[in-house]
Amino acid sequence: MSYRPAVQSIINAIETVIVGKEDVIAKSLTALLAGGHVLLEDVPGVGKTMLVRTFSRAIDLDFKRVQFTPDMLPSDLTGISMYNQKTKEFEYRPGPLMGNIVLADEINRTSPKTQSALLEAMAERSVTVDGEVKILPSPFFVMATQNPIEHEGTYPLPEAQLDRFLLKIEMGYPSFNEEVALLTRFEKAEPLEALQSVVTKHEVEQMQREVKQVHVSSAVKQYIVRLIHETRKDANTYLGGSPRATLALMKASQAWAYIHGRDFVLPDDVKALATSVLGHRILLTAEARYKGRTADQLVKGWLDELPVPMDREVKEV
Amino acid sequence: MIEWVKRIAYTALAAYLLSFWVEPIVGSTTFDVMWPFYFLLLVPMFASLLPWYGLIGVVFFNFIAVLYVYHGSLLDWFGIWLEDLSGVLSGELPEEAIFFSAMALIGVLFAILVGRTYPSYGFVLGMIVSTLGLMAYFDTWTLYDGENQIVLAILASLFLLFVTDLAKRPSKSLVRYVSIALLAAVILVLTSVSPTLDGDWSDRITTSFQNAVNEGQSSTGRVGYGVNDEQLGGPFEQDDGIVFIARGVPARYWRIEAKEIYTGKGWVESPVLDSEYNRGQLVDSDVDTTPEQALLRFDRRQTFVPYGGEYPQATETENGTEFRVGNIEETFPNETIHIRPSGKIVFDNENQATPRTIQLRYSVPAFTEAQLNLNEPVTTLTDEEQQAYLQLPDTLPERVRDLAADITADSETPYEQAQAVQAYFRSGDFEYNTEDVATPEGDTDYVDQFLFDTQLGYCDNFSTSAAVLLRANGVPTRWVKGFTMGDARGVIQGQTEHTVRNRHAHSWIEYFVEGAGWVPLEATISFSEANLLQIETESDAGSDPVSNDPQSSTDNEPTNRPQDDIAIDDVAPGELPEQSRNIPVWGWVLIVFGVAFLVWNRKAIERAFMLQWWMRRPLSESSLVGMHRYLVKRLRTAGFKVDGRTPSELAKEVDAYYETEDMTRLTRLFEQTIYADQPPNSKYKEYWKIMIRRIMS
Repeated sequence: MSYRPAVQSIINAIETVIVGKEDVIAKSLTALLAGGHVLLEDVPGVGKTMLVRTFSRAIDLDFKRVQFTPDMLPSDLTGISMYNQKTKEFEYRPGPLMGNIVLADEINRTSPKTQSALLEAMAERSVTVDGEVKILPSPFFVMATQNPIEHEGTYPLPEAQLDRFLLKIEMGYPSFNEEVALLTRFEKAEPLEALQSVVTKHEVEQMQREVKQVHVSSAVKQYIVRLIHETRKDANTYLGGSPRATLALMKASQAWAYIHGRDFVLPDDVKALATSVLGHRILLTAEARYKGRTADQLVKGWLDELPVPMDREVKEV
Repeated sequence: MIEWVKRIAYTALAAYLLSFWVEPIVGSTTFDVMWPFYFLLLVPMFASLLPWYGLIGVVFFNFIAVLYVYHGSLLDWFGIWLEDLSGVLSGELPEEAIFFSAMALIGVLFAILVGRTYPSYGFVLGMIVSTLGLMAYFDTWTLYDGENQIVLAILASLFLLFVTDLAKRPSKSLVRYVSIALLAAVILVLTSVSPTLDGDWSDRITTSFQNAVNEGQSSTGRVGYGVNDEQLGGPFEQDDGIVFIARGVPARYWRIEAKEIYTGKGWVESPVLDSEYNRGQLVDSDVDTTPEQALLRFDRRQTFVPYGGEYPQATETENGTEFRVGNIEETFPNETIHIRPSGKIVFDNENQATPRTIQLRYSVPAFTEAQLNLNEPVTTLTDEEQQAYLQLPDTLPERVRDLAADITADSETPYEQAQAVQAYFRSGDFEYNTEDVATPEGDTDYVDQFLFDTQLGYCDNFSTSAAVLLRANGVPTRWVKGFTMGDARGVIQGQTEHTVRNRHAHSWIEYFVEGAGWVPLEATISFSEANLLQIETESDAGSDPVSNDPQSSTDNEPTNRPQDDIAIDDVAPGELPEQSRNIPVWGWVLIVFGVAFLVWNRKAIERAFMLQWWMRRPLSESSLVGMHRYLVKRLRTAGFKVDGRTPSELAKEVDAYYETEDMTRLTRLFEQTIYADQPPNSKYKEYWKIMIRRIMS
């Protein structure tokens, strides 16, 4: 918990640039501290890129950006070994993945092949170039953005790959007041330029270690598992949450609790993150989709009915 | 929509409760129809669902319509109304028109109350209390019989409370369903197990002292007037049901019939005497008699006619002999009604029963001491009659006859012998008892068993034994059934009234004195003879019937038997003190309010219990979980949404509602223990106590 003030200073720093969006900031930070990655889904122009850049500035991280296009190849991401005439050796030219924060913009515009390369790197935290394993820098944090699926010319991400994102966050438009404040803030200055980093890479790694120490009681574990079981039992779901989802929900909850200054997880933490963790991992049946249901709605429905365990005694309901 | 269903159910149930008012109130007046009052009371209740102008309109047209249908002319009625009003102003009792208006006003008042206060516990409880109280009052003091109605009223009350509860509290708590079911169950169980309450359901009149024994099944009979006396004995239960109310006469035993043949087990009528002849008198023509007229009002139609003194008189009219029984206007021709030799008034048509009101004329004999002490051979009775009245079964043990001779050794006249028998019973060896009374089995003689074995019994034992002892001495005797004088109701409109109940059913004997006639004898100990036998003293000649003042018997009675203190004179077998009469209906009311009190105060009771229980236990993790579970349960009952809420979400909601912070503080301590796995903090108990008090107040 020694870095708890640092967490607050990160948030404060980011908020000097980003107007409103406390929830989005907190969730992004959660993903970073839990060692996961974030999928930002929303229409262009709502500040996805700005958010990521602010993050990298505030934490003094190496920021890389990839704009995904349909003709992009995996090597465009991972980097490539080139023959050096002078040294007569192959020399590795790092790709954009070799950064601490990677903004993968419009990830669903590129082919599945390239998407897979990115997602693999996210999972393994290393890339293989010409048979040589290159370890990615640490911390490694991907914030991918995607336009909502129904836009034309997109390659929807396969389910298995969606599962690799710890959280899916929707930005949403700012409120009226927030948008006015936004105008004021950017009227005469460029706040991002003025932003100074408040923590170091090393400190972030320390925080990530501390997050793992956050206590999860048996009652909360049961709550998580019961919720995941709901996703599998419900008649509206075609595919429920995997054990990886269970694990993700716990890790995210730990980080969320850490951000909120606690060294133990509350059911509230699980509840706060459940839609972000589970929303993109659940597939609805055709019938449910036809009825206009969404995964987020279903998760909210389960949360609203599921009794919160008040007991450490493990029992299946 | 559902709101309206609740409201209509609420109004309808309140109206249903109000409808219970009509029968007792109108029944105690001279109105012969009920329907106008139902309309006057109930229509406005339903009209209360309408806006105020609708209510006024409906009430007005309802009143006019009821009047028109009932009366025919409205103008005419207005005249009556004015007349009544002037009558009331000059101090008379209200008549029809005023009564009508009063009922209409009650209807409007309740309609306004039910409409304006919806939903209100106060109104509902007031409604229930007044309805049940009114029913209980009228049941006790008038002929109105509310014992079946009260069950319906109680059920309606329960439903009304339930609907009010539904309308008042929006939460869908299971507790109320359970409590309502519990309340109903408790009442049903009490009904089925309590003998006192059970009695209200059965037909009390057709059962007799010994009915249970006659049927040979259960061990306990029920007191009341019965027809079959072949098997006497066995215990019986008391029954406070009203049989009739006698008006215009002093306290007097009510004779119904006599039986002649003793079988060794009980009494049957003599076939020899079962003929048309001898519709004569009870007493010799030399005995002075006083004519008396009584008005009997029956609770329900009966198959018998009780009378005081002598047989009711048959009168000669143009249509032949008429027996004056029935409404004063209504007569029963001689062909349909006659008096059997036993004195029983019989209707030829078995389905025929007495009217609810009977005007009776009969004579009350008063013997002089000289007449009673006559000792002449019996000549007035025919041989057949003498045979019947001296009959004794062959199986009668010899020791009974020996005892009879012993008791009357010093007596000469029949009167002295009768007095000796009476004195023998009162010598102290015999005990009055209705519970541990034996039934003779096998060859055992009923009288023999009582006289020599048990010496414990009630009127049947004493009277039968007295009859047998007198017969053994050659005194013609018969066994008489009827009622004692009943409970005094006081003087009503200038005339004394007595309430005769089932428990006043009684038996005594009549023995024959040549020259005097049939002289009654009260054989049962702890009963006074004052209201049965009138003796003229020399200074007190003429028709004064109170020479043997009932009050004087108070001092004559021995006091060492428990029932004596209440068996002085007005109260018959003396089991129940005066003020506890009609326990059933009051019992019902008390039980309902007792149970209702418990149910409606269940929160306070439960709270006190729970506080005690949890406060005493040391705070451990498991007790903390238990306490929190209970708290959450109470919050759910109080209407908070609990499922799907995390403790802190719930706390926020609760604190916002109560405008405090205690729940949040408590929840923080709870979270520390359950989610952070730290040892429980003792402060939790304090906050818990505060919260429980707050939620359950």
